[in-house]
Amino acid sequence: MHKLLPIVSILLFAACDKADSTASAAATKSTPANAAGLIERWREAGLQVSAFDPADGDKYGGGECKAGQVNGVDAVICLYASPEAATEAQAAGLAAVGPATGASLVVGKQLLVIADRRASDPEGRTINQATRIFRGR
Amino acid sequence: MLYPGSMRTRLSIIAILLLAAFGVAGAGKEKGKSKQVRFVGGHPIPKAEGKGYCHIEAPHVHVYAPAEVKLQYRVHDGDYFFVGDPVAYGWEGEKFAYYGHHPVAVDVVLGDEGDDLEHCYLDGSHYHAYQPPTALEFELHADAYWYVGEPAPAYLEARAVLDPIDVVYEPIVYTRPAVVVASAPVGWIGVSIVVAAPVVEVVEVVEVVRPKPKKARARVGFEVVVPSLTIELGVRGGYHDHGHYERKHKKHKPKKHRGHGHDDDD
Repeated sequence: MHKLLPIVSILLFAACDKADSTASAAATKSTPANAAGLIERWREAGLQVSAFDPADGDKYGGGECKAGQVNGVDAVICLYASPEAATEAQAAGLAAVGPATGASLVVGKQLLVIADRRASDPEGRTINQATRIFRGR
Repeated sequence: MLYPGSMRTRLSIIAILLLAAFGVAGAGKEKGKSKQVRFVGGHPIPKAEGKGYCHIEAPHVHVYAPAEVKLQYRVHDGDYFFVGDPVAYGWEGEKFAYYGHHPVAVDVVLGDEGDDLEHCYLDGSHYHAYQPPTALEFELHADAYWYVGEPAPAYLEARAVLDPIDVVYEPIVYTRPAVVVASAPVGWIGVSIVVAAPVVEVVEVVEVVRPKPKKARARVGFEVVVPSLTIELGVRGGYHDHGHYERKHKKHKPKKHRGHGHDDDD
């Protein structure tokens, strides 16, 4: 029996290691790494996503930004050099929302600014779905 | 430890009052409708703004202020966090039944790190869109969560101010969870918080609810009346709450704490 212990330990270690890798992969998958990944995830979730074109990053703290619409709700996705830079840009994003229902959220180096300027999402279902995907939830 | 103490609750109440008075929970500096008000989590939409329920879970802004802010909201990291029953406002997502007062681990609900603990002061059966965290002592009994842990000092201190939340729900007609039990779980907060006045009076009650224009209702039962708690032993030998929360009705019985009635609609 004792001779089997090392083998059992190795198998258990391998199993745990694999489980960790799977969990890590799932975490990575759950949070889109870039604008293209996020847009793809939105489409997969059944959201109607327009083309996302380059936008003025100065308005969003100097990020590399793309703007478009999700189910008729305006969205801007920006990428920054660091998570700190993205966090610093969050207030600018909120200001850009203006007099509308919206959000300015940061995940890693990305900023999502979403604003329902045409009141097409009165109960916030689209914004909730889009932001949940962005936040990996 | 999930009891951050009473200071946080005091600050939350003060923040609510300040925000309600000055409307400073916003990033926008514009006046009137353009002022941003910060929320986190789902919440009712005021009638003037179209009513219904906002489903946005992440921190977000609107250009309106919350209604019944003092009773229905707490301030969490500068955002309004709704602590009431979402089903009353049209929430159709996942929901979980609770019975009586209980703590709300706000950070757990929001998926954040932190230990912000607020309290729900809704009497009787009601819903929330979240389950209680395992770190708090809840018991699942008759398909509802009952808080059986020690009442936090902050809960007791803020009770006088926040307990009247039920008044907000009196005019709202919606179906509350049906909770039928023979007895409350041991340690339920609804019993444990009355230790300062451990007098239990058992009275037989024959109650006739004042008839409404189109229907009359009557009930017969036994009630265990203690300060701040009503346990009604109904005709089926257990106390229960059918969840049909009706408009207010006058009760002809000894003065006691507000509780959900035994509303048998005949």
